[in-house]
Amino acid sequence: MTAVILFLSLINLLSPQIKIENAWMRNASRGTNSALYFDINNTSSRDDELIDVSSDIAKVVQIHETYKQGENMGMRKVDSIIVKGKSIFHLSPAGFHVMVIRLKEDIKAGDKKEFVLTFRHQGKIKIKATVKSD
Amino acid sequence: MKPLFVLLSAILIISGCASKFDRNDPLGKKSFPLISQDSTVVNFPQDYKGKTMVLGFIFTNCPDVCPLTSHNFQMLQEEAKNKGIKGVNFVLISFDPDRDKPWVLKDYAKVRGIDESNFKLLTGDKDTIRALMRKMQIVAVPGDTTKTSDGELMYFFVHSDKAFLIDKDNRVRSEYRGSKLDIAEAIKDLQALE
Ligand SMILES: [Cu+2]
Repeated sequence: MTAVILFLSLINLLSPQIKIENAWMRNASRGTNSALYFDINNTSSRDDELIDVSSDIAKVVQIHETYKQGENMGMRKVDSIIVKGKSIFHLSPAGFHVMVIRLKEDIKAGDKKEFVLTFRHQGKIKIKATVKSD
Repeated sequence: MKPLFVLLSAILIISGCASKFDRNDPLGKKSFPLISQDSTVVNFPQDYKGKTMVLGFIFTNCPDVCPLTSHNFQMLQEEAKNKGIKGVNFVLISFDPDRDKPWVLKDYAKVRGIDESNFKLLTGDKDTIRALMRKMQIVAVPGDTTKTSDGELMYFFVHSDKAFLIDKDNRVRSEYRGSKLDIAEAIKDLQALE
């Protein structure tokens, strides 16, 4: 049994079922906030769930959703994002995003910044987001 | 039950049940003394009389929606320049004067690569900003809050997403959604006012 589990996790490691694509974040200066966006490509047929995002570059990192309330816009923290099997979930401006609160450093266009995403099944995935001035 | 009802009605009133902006109503004789990213005093809207103005509202701690508005203003500024449209000012007013001090706005302009030649970011004292927001029917209510590890309380607003086109006589002529500004439409409106 242990061998089977070991074998399965090895397969998992060699061919990740979750692929993170087009990761980018907005340039901002130290002490301010930014947002991180990416596509979650779930290539397996099993649903997965993004449950945490972390990084050393900011004091707080949270998964957020922007919503419309009548004519007004607001955002709120969400606990997780469920990504259905064989689907792509887009985090994008004015939608789901990762809030990067109180940056510890200036982040400039062209920089690449590291984040660790945690998925319920896939586990931890390290990504590098390209900083853009969009 | 009763206090809740009063609270709910108050929220409804401030969050958009107000009547539609009268487009031909001049912004009035009332002057709102504001302060720019360069710490100069701007009398709003009088100082813009004789020029067309594109006006929006943001807060710089907003990392998702407000940068879209700022970016749209920058694209519109660029496009207006390309089209040879002259005498237009771009103005973004902060509805978060507690945190958006002039130097914060200056840093925001620098980081966002804003061409500041005809683009002002304005803040002011709380009462002035509040009065101006009432005038323009702009809403910003603190919503989501979070605490950083060193105890700073961060708050974000549920806020209007409005932008305005204001003519040379300080009259509101068009209203847009700031984060979804249709550049081509705004250019047409600007040309019509030239
Ligand atoms: Cu957010």
